[in-house]
Parts: sequence; C-alpha cells; structure tokens
Amino acid sequence: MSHTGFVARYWSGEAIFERNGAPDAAGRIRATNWAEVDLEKVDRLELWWNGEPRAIIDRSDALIDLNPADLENHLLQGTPITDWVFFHSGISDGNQTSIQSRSIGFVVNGTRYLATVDEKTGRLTDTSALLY
Amino acid sequence: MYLKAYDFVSGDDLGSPQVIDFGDVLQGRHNQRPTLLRAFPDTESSILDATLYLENKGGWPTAEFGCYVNPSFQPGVNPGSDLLSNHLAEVRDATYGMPNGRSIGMTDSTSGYVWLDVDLPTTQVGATSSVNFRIAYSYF
Repeated sequence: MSHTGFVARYWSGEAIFERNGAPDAAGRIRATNWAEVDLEKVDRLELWWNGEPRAIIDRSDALIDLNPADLENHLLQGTPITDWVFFHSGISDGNQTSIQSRSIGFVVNGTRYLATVDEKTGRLTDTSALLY
Repeated sequence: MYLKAYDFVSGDDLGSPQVIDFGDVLQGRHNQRPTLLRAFPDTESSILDATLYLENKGGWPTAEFGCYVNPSFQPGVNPGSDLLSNHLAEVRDATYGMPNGRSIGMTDSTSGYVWLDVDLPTTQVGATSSVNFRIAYSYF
C-alpha cells in the first residue's frame, strides 16, 4: 500500500484513510476527508508516507500529558479525546497550492503536540506549542 | 485557496488573477495601478495561519513593497499611501512557518482585503522584474 496521509483507527477496528479531493456530505469536493473522522471514536492516529507509517499516536500518548484531574475523568468516566489534530501545510503561488507537509497530533491542557512529515523527504519532526 | 482581485476605487470584483499586474512602475514613483486582493477557501474545509510572502525574482534589488491588510474594503488606499508603508520583507523560497510573513487575516470564509504597493528608488536602473507573492497556510 503506497498510502500517504492520515489513518484514523477506531476502537472498533474500523480505519478511515485520508483521501484528497473527497466529496463531503453535500457533494462538494474537499481538500481531504478529515471531516469524516468521528474524533470521539479515535483510538490511534497514524501518519503514513509512501506506504510507511512515519508517526503513530495512541490515545495513551495523549493521556500521559493530562493533569491528574483530567486523567481521572478520562479513565473513570471514559471521556473521549476529541482534540485530535490533522492538517496540511501548503503554499500557494497564484491559484495553485502544493502540499509541503502533513501533521497529526492532539491538544491537551492548552498545548498542541504535533508529528509532522515532510511531503518530499518523509522526514519526521515532533513539536509542541502552547496555544493559550 | 484562490485569489480574487478588486478595483481599488470601487471595490468591484475583477475576477481571479493568475498574474498580479502593477501596471507601469517608474523610477522614483510608486506603481500606477494599486493591487487589491482577497483569498478564499476553495476545496479546504478550514484554513489557518495564512501568511503572505514576497519572493523577488530579481531586476529590482532595492525596490520596496508595501502591504496593507484590512477586514473590509476601504476606498482611498492609493499607491504611496501611509497605510502601505508597512513593507514586506523579501524572502527566498518561502515555506510554511518561515519568519517575515504577513498575516492576511484569514477567517472561515475569506481573508482580509490585501493592498500591495511598489516603490522604485531613483537609483534603480531600468529592468524587467518578476515578483512572486506566495501564501503559506495550513488546511484540511
């Protein structure tokens, strides 16, 4: 499989693969099908590049950064993580856009953790940034 | 993402340009034709952090390029206006997240209006120049 893009894996074992130029529910062509992903069901988010999984983020990776009170909520009450993140970074010259990189990650406690894969080289970069 | 150009006097929609035309640019003067643009989502469900960069392809090594961004159309922003004195820094091969970009005020549906300006010093020798205005942004 030469897939490049996200793979969102649900608790149920179902997987949603990134499709570019996918139609949405109204039939409009979209840059990606990220909107199809039910974030509450995601157990693992993966970022593939030319058929290789370059970054894998499990739900446990996100939970480890939660403060104790939030962690208790997640573990005892089963509160799902909904702050999964995916986006492209691109550049537009005139009216043509090219992808530079794809990122997956999550947000907890105001900090966004990202794994970014360069579209040309496949190089993986991990970053975190305080959002607020 | 796609761009639309607007008449700087009336604000009328001039369509989607493939090339930005400043008109004649003379030594010691600003461009004759102000350039007014807005960016819009195309296939993107959401656009974040859209930032404008200038890539000068040569010919005007000391020219200065002004930029002004406003959420709404504003008549009277002419070449040489003080509003356009906030200059763009030239960069090479701009990439997402590179410093010296200028936010174009992207919301869910559109960017702000973006005015562009050229000021060509009298020391400049006549030349033909190509300037690339590049927008870097994240989207899904």
